[in-house]
Amino acid sequence: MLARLAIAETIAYNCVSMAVDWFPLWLSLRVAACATVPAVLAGVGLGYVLVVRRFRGREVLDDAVTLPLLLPPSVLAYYLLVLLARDSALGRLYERIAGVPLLFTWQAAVLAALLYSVPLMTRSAQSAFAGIEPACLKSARTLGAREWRVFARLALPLAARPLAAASILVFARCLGEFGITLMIAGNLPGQTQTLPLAVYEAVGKGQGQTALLLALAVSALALLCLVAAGRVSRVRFGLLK
Amino acid sequence: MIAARLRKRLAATVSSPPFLLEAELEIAPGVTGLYGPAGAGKTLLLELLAGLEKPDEGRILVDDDLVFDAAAKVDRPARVRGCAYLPAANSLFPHMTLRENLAFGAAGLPRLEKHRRVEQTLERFDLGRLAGRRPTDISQWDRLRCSLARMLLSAPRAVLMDAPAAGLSGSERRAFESLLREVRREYSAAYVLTTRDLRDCSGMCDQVAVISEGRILQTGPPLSVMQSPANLAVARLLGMHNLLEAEIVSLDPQRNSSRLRLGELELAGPYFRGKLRGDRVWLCIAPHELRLVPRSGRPGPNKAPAEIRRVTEAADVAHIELEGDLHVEMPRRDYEERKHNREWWVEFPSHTLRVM
Repeated sequence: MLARLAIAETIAYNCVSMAVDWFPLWLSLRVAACATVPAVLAGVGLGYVLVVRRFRGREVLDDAVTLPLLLPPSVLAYYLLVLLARDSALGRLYERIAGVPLLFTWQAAVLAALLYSVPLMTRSAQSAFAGIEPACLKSARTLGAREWRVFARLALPLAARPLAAASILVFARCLGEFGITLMIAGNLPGQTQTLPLAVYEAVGKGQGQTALLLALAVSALALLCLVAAGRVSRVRFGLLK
Repeated sequence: MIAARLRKRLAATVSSPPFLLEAELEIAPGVTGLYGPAGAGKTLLLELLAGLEKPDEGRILVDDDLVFDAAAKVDRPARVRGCAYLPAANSLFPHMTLRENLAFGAAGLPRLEKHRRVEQTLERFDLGRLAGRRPTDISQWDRLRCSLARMLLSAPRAVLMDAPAAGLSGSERRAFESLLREVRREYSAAYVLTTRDLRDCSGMCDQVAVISEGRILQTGPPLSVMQSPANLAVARLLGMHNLLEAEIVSLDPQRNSSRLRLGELELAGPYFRGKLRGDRVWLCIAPHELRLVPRSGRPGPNKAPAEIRRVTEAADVAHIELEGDLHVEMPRRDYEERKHNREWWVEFPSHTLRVM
């Protein structure tokens, strides 16, 4: 007990006395927030389409959405480097619109986070929509409701809880993105260095105290998200019993 | 009115074998019952009519409006077909109150009109006191009334109900029969319901279509179908007892008579149009048409010795199972008077013999 108290005291002392650069934490939060919004929108849309619509190429789309989860980060990052290089069509297009190249900016870190979060959100959304009683959606369609109304008035509210929980977990996953970010956004302190990259650098430089503090920050955030997702999935919304 | 000719093939899945539905039917205004066992294709047929499943071939006309034609590549979506569908599972939206559920069905109306119609319908279906409650908080009978009300608010041309009376108690079933009779007078539409219970056919339907293994085997008024099943398969589906294989020994059209051999027994029957001497036929005799009489003297015509195997007594009838898989029903009072008798004749009245 005394030993544990001593460790906690040391950590607290170090937090106060050490000059830790907390920029990676704020950047990670910004990247995660910016990636979660489009990931949730795309994942919910794709998940709904894959569950309720039958069309040619549905299986191909399903597999394509899942593929990034199976590919190594280095392979995905390589594809992105090729696709978004300054001399590529996409790279030139982005540079013409934004005025700056995409690679090795914090926006590239957002893209890196999206690569894993979209499939993750799509999978979760598929499970959430598949859990809705099909009879509700079927009868709604025969009552003259257009598909967007079935989606907005029925599917979305009925799947709200699992979707909200999945969004929080996707946010947490974005916070922890490492491999692709390193390769396409770089590890530039004060510019593209996210929290996991800062831990990696601190360990590499032998800054044990800094690495410990940053690792604890990442862990605390992940734990917070996990608890929040659990609470959200159990909470009774006003519109759901 | 719905006229449909449909063909739909379902591939085998892990839990079900391949299935082929080939059906041609006309559904007139009034209530039509699709009667058949589980897996006959009743639900699939409703979903094809409603536009929730797409047939491989065929065409569907709803009130002379072509809503599906595979050859002409016409496939109108479910929302514009005017075929409201009530699935077998609870289809009320669980996150909405009953009032909101009804409002969803009346969404096409202007706001004030919608409000007026919803309130009117709540009263009409005796749901006023439950209007603010959610579907999970009410009974199955209340949910069925609300589902029916919601469908009718969308002003459908056809109301398709999948096993609506399944799980209702006896009194609720009678109440549903009476509600359906009232509703069909007030809301003009073709009503179709699926059932596995003959009581629903006789109590609720004007027409019955017997369906099995994806094919419509017989259609007609319930009484006519029950009294004269078209073939052995229909008779078995209707749960008929006393299906007996016999041979026609003689036919006399002038005397309107025939003789049939049933094992060792020879029976006198009416003339059977379209049958020939020597034909093997299936006789179908309703249990209440067979007579069970105490044995005395020599057997008369169309009588055979009988031995009782089991008796099941209901409130007003006694169902008697005889050796040889014959079933007889007689008024319970008659059975009570004669039940101490030990030896019996079973009599096949000549006019009750029907062949399939």
